[in-house]
Amino acid sequence: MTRSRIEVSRRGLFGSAAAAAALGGGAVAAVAGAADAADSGDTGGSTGAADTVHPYEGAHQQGIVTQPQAAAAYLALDVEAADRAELRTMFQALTTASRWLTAGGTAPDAGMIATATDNGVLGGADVPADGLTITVSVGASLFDTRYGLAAKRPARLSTMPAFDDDLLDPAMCHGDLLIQVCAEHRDTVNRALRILLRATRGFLTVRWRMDGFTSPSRPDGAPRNLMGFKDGTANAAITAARYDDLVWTHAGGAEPAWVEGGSYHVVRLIRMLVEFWDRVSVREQNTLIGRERSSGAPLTGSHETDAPVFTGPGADAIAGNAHIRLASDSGAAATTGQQMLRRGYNYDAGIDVNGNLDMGLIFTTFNQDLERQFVAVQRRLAGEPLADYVLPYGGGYFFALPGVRGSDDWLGREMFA
Amino acid sequence: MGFAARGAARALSATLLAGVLGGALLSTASADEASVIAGTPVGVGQGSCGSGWSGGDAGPLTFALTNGSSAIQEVQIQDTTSKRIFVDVEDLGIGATRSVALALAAGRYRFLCLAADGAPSASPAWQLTGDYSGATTPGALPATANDFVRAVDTYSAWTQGQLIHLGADVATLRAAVAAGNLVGARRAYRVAHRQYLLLGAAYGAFGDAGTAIDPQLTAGVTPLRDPELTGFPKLEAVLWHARPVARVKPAERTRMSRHRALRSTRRAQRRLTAYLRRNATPVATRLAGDVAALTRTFNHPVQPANIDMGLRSHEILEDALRSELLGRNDAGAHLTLFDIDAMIDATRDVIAPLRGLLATRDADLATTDAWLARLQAYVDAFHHTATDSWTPYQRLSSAQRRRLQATLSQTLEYLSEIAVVLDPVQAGPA
Repeated sequence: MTRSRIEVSRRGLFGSAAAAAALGGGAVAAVAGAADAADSGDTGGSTGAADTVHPYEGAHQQGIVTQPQAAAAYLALDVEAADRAELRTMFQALTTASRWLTAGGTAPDAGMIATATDNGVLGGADVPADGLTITVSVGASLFDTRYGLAAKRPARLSTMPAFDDDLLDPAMCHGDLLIQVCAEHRDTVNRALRILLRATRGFLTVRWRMDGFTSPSRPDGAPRNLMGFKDGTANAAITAARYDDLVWTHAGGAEPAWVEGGSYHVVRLIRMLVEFWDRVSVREQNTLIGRERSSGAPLTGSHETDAPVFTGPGADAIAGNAHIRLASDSGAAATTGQQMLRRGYNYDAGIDVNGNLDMGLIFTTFNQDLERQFVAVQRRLAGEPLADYVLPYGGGYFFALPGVRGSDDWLGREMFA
Repeated sequence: MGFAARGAARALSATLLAGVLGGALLSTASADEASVIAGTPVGVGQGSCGSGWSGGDAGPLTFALTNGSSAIQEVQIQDTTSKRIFVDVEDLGIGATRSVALALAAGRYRFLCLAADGAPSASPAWQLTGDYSGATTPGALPATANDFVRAVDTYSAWTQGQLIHLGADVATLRAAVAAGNLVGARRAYRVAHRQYLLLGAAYGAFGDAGTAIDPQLTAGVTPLRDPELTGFPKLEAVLWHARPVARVKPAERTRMSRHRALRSTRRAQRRLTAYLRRNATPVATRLAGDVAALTRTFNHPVQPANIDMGLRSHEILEDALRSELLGRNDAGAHLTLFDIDAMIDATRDVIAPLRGLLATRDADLATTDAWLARLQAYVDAFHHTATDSWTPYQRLSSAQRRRLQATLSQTLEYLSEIAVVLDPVQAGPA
């Protein structure tokens, strides 16, 4: 199992763009071994270039420890496959389309016998991969009686409950499947999701969808959320050496064998009541979060990168119910295995029925153990003062499938074994 | 406007578009034209078809086709043995250059240069050599105008037969309306409207006559009060706005109350008859006239164009997806699923005379049939045989709507291939 995530410039690897078009992700993976921005603990916003190729095949899926790209679409889907055989066909079709889409290049040629495979949103010949990643996760409902998969359910996968401060809209929750499409530009995401849905047209229906974006670093450090705070600073602590303990699930114990290399994928649609928030003084905002808005520094320190001090003299600068204190269990989360890799996106989805802005965070986290990490933290946050300014209303629990391990492999194959 | 209107409009707009784009490209890029358009330069035109290319290695190829003639060109690359074509560049403007990319296996090929007027020409055959084994561009054996003759004749004859049935069905409907028989009129409406839907009148295939017979509802206007509305939807609004007269119940059959009930029933029936004569009869009469006019003019002189046959294979159900499933055709009867059931049958009726052409051209024909059957089975699950009634589309759960949408959409993906493989292209020289 390799943990090195590979980011390569196709232009750097291959002399001619035409040659690249003929090569699949497997070929790219075979020759690459470059340094990884996320592994180095850099929490800055994406700096990916349009010709960045994230290898599709590997022990783990892409789009998990990949540094967040600028644009994302989350599609929660329900499976309409008539039987198990069609479900397999669906996963194979998703794999095939994802493999060529993420490699960049030219779409398979339908010639004179069908309408064009490509929708042309990125032009036609030799389009850039543009840092595209496609990550497929399954929801608990896929393991009901329909496809005979009940015994294969990842042990910790359940239906996301409503937490204390949630107001869940059933139309925006759960799903048999989640497809997370991320790239450096929105047009790349648009093209990819249309091709993916077309390739699985009769077998999947979209249950809900949310599009997101990552802001650039302003002026540096973690990108800011729409409350104006740097978000994801704590990710720096989750280095590649800890992925095996914090991100990847392992076979054994209660878990079925096939989950090796997957990850529990939590998505929460959290609306930020920005009109209200903007009427709150920055001093109060700082107190609620436990950090200083402008610099991102913990209130016990001077710089974003300073570790928050939760005990001892002066630690009271971070209030007892400040968000970062509760979330980190006053720092204890680091030793209790509760830290989780976060990969959220901002969203901006127009207005609500009353004309208020509908925007916020697509909170996303990848967990080795749903209960030990996300759920434990979420319970501790119940009733936090910050809850007055946000409204979690959708999302779900999913399980990111293990990676596609070779050119003959396909997503979820071992789940059917 | 006749059956061919859609195809003609499409061809015209493509020509206009090509003209506009071509002009813009030429005016801005004329300084450095050749260098920005990818591919091996190849001249096309009657006198110089395929000039600049004499063959090479099998595998990926890119050509920059320049129309050096004084006529708009259609350019194809043809396998000289199988006669399959792999590229069809339509409407290549005078002086325009277009880049095409494809991948071909080793073999003998030639360019075909076809102009609207003038004899088709061909390049000398050229050879691709080598042991290329990668993906190749799928080619197709084009259906020629000659190939379409029997299919179009068959479909036209079938349509004319159906129009005669439609005339009889509308006469029945008209009689029920005149008799003040609301239940009978509703039943006759369903029979007649289904008969009309079987003709596959999607996308204005019957021109103005079709628009008068089965117009789209106007958004934001109540169909019953829309003075412009005619034909089937107007009748639907009128017939489903009224309530059938209740029968005298057995409990009321004591002598006095029965007498009163009968009198009140007769009064209600008189009101209903007057309502139908006032509101439905003029609409039914006009509808009968419009159907008669369509029957007289159909096929004289306009036959369905060749291009229509393939297009209609998916456009009837595309109409269902964009109108029926959004409730845009429901004037009150809530017969959306009944309509879609008819549109599935109409699609099969269009494909029926094409099967001979499709057998060798559409590898997915059996799959297409299977999805049509799957779609119809799902739609028919909402038909209640005992009462011959249909669940209103509005009552479907969002999960049911999504399943219907997914099944319909997948069926359309396969149906759309028929339009591609039966897209008429000009025949090259022998």
